[in-house]
Amino acid sequence: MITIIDVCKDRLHYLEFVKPIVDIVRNLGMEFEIIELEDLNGKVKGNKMIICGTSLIDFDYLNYWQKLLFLKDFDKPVLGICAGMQLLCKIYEGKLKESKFIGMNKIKLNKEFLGIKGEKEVYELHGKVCEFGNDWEKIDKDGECVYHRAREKYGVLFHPEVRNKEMIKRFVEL
Amino acid sequence: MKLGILFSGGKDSNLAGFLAKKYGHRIKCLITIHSRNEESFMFHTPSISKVKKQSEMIGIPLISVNSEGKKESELEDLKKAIGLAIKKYGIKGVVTGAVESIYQASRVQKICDELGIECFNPLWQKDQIELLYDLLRYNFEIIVSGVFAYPLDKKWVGRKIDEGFIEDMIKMREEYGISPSGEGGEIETFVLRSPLFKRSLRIKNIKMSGKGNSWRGEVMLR
Repeated sequence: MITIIDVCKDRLHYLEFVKPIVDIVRNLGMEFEIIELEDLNGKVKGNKMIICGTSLIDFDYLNYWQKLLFLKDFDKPVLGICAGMQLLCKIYEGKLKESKFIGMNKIKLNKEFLGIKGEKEVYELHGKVCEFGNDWEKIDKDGECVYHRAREKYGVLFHPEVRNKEMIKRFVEL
Repeated sequence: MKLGILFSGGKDSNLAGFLAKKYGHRIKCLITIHSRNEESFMFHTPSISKVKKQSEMIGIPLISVNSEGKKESELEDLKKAIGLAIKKYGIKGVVTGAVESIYQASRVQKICDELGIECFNPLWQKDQIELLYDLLRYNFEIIVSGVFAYPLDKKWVGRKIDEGFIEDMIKMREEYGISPSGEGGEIETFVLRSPLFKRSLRIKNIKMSGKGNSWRGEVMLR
């Protein structure tokens, strides 16, 4: 069972930022539940969690980051995508910085990460980037892919549900 | 939220607009760029008069801007049109029918960012067969108004999007790698009725032009 966290303020953005991920999970034949960030109460059914992204000018999720504090004791894999990565950054006392990017970008991974390696083209849509603490490992020099080894937490700044869908598959099948 | 639909008259922008309304938004206007460049990367628009007819059927005003269709000036024209919609109708965001094209989607995202408004892409990454079946489920009436890939030919122009069409397109994908909803520009469509229309548009005749595997049908309405 995968728990999918929807952080979008506007319900119409569900179709753009959550449904593409739901479709990948469903096509893999996995069971899933979808919970809106605001409604989280610390109880989830999943043995893995994906925290989705949202639109470029929606930062409403930053008002609800404490809803995810229970993840510090959640000993199961979590993948944070874009806004989801920023939420992981908040609960692990990292810093968010303003930095915008829209469109395709190239990253260079120094090792394999959720099934991708080497140079990769990725699709980005973000207004902030994350500076994680020392517990987190950067997989590329800019920290677009990060990993908290001890807690099995993964963060990606780009949108793997748009390009690099195989990363979601790899995460789901971990 | 008050929204404007980036509108081409085809199935994707009509479905996207319908979904925006279904999710509780107020559609204030349709925004159309009429490109003189038939090969435009951004815009695929039939003649403005037909898009105007659609806007009348929906009962929502149309903002249309002509563009020479040169690659980057097209984007300036789009920005101008959206700016006009903000001024005139107070829209706080636009809706697009983008499905796969990062080229189109990220350019619209950039324009919305510059103008400080929201951007909605409710069909983003949607499975193409699911998209076609959604159109049937919501009772859209759509015809193919152009084909631009082997082995599609003149016979396909004017066809209705129905179950038989979808089955044929699935076969075309398997045998020729054609994208079933025309994401690669293989087909163009024209919407005769959507759930937002007061009534259906009716075809008088279709004026065909083209050759081989590239045909366009100019739809003449009653």
